[in-house]
Amino acid sequence: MQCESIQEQISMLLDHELSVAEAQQIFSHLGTCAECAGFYSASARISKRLRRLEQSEYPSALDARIRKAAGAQRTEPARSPRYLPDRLSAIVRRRIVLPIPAAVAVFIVSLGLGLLLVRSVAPGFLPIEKETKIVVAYPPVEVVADDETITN
Amino acid sequence: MTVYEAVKRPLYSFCLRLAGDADDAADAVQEAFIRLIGRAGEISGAASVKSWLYTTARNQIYNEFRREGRMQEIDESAIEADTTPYAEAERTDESEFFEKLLARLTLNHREVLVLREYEGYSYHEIAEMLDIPESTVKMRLFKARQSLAKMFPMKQTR
Repeated sequence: MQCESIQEQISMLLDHELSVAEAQQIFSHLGTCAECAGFYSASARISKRLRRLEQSEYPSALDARIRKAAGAQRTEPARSPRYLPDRLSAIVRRRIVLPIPAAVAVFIVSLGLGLLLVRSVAPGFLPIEKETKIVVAYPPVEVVADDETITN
Repeated sequence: MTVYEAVKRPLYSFCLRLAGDADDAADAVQEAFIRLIGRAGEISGAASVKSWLYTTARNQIYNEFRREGRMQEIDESAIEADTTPYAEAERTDESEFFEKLLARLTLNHREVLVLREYEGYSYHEIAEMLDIPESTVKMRLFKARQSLAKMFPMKQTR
């Protein structure tokens, strides 16, 4: 476990990311640990050789390919604003003005909805018609006979 | 010298070492420059432009690898058991041998090693380019070196 941590520091040492004091500690450990010394030796040689490798040859045809693709992109119509979908941005660009009748209709609907809301939230705020109960009553019917009264 | 002229070769080299395929590398370089044209004016400063190009090209390669299901993870036990690079060292030239060693690393490990060893970027710059913490850069470099050391026996380091 300790060697794992030391080898992590060896990697930093190869990248010149350690202070002189830290580097000295690592080198004194290398004198006593064959495993870490082996890792240091192999990694240092690999790094040295990797840094010596030349750049890959650049394909000459790639310049022409990029120029062609760049030319094709420049001829595409510009999109503005870029972050909005095309249809939405078109609406924004045209700055649509709502026709007056539509505005009036929206006002009336809003007013109606507002009144309904006020009525439901504060019933006493607006006069509400009294409920009319239709009561079908059957009052006693008096049938008057000649000599007696019959109550139904 | 324009940014294009200054960056195109190292960028292509980086992409080739990362992707291990000339067509993938060329596609990534083209995509990065074309996207840069689309963002003209949004990125300022040669250093930022270079860093942005590397990040974009690298992302393009990652996307391509993901699309094709090539995001392999190297099995470390297989590395230890497989002595192919060791045997190849005797019959191929040094550059080819090291390119093959690199190709055996995971994409995550390869990219930090290439950015550090070939391009000479600092931990901080690599962290910004790859949008990862510096501690992750440090750890990936260590793991990459650990894997390479396992593939590179001491008797071959003379």
